[in-house]
Amino acid sequence: MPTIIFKASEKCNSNCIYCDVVERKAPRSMSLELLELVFQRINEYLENKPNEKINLTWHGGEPCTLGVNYFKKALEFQDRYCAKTKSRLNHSIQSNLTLINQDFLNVFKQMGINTIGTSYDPIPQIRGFGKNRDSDAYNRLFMRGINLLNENSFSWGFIYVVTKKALEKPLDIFYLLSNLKLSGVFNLHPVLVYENDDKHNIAITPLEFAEFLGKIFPVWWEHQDRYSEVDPFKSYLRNYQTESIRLGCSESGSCAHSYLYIGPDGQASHCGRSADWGILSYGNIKFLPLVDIFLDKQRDILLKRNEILLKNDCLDCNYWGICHGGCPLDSYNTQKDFLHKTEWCEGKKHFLKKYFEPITGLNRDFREKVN
Amino acid sequence: MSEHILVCPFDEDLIGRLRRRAIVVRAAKFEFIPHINRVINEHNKLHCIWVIDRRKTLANIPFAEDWLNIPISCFIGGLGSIKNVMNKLSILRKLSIRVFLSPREGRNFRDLMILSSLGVNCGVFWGNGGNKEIDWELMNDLMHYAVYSRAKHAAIEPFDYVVSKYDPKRPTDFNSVYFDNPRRYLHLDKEENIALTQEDLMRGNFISKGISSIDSIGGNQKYIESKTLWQEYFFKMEECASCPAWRICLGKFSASLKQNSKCKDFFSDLLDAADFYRSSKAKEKVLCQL
Repeated sequence: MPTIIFKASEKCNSNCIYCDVVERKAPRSMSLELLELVFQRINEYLENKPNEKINLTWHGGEPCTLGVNYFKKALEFQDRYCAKTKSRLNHSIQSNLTLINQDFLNVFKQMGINTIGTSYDPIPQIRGFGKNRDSDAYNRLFMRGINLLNENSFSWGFIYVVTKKALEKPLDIFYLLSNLKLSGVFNLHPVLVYENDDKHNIAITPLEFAEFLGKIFPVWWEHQDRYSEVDPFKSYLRNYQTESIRLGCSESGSCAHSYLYIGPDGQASHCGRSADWGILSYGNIKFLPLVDIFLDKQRDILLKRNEILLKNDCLDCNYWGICHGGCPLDSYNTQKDFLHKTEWCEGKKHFLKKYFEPITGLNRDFREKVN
Repeated sequence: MSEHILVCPFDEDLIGRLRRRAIVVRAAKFEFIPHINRVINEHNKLHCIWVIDRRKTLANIPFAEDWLNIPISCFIGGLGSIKNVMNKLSILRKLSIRVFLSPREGRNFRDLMILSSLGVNCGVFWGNGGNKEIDWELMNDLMHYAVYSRAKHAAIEPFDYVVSKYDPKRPTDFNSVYFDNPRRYLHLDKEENIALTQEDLMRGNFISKGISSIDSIGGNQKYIESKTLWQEYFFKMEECASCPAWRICLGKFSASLKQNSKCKDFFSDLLDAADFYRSSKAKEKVLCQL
């Protein structure tokens, strides 16, 4: 199912330390005229591809800065332009929850959204409002958002972005996040810094991330019944234990023709990260239908990347099937091309070899089977 | 109608104004037990009589046959003469009674173990105050006995409550053992002031007034806010929020953590015990019903 990362607004009410959108760009929001066109384009695509579905992920910035009427308008456009195809259009949303209110949730319900992805950090001044990153005020509103979600039977999962500040106390962080989220999912993810521009001194190395995970994994493994579904542990476990391998976009090796970013001016790119970094520009939905954008020739290199990696960087790598050289954007970040494995591969291998495999006793050959 | 159980003093006027309620009566004297039972059950349902009398020891409580089938919990000063306790054992074991002792006196751990082994339900009552004076290692010994010992013995609280009610997907509040969990109990005084906990009632921190307000307590703003008070721990890296055992302790000893942080080890062991109990229950054989 193609996923559209839909950044209708770059505005954000928060000033998270690892997000440079606010600083680098004057935040823009999509006009209602253009929003109307988005739904026309989606309908066009779905009519053209009767067996496909689209996942439209509202992203930001903070989508709720658009105001509740913007989402009502989106529903109106959907009803008007996608009357026959809307059953094949799924909405999802990423929000920091600090602006969520009952009106938003009512509209989200109408859009078929019943789960919200978010992020959280208990370490002061990582996520927060204003120049000084007031994390206390932020966290209070975040909790209020969670309470509202719970009252409305929405589920929520969150990403914890591991920064240098978190490296000192992996278990404390893990226990806190697990206590906050007694059921459901959360994801531990390394902070990604573009072009080593680590002005806040928060970057971590792949090895540091692996060691961070390695401190937590034995505890999670021993008490799986107790703790939430924590990723990447749960995904590794599933992929080691079951035949059908499920991977996120950065490890799938198959994002080439399945992801699309639409920004506030209608500009198309590959994904949120490529748009933030100003690469892989696929034109503008004002002038191009989505079918054409999904066939943009620039995407071919992402497919070809698999072949090239298998002959070079990832030749005979045991973990190929669950890694595929990592996210092409990470390759670009350090090498300025997409045709290398990422620096995070070594961290992944380190974690799997030093912690995951010895502790679980699981081993599996994920090499590509060549006929 | 609210499903809360009401905790109130024994005041016949107040009880007379209540109808069809489940009630925990706080009583100061054991001698009133049969009378309280009669009065409460006239128009309400007695959930328990909660007697707090630190001057009494188990040895000098005047147990009587007419206490049979009356649910009683008591917090008393100690066991007293063990010889006298043994002489009262036959009646004690017939009663629906749970005996609480303070964990701030070392010998009480031994006495609770004895009581439990004699088949008397019992437990530790923290009461107000921090954990400064608590010997968490003795507490841990008692908990290990309560949960893991295969020798026949009666339940010791709150360990039994935690291991039997524990659900990894929800927080477990063992204050229910002391009728002090606002999700299940509300406290009221003679003037019909309503509070979330006994301590709030004593301090005048009321959330509403009047018996008639109890049924709409679910919409009471202070009550709603109380449901999310636990989140205060998570606004920053609080020690309790990052404790592995927070889910079964909920920060009850946070105020005195600086003086004594051994509660963390104790509750971590209790959580392990809860996990153990849960997994052994899951492994129990299921036979077909004949």
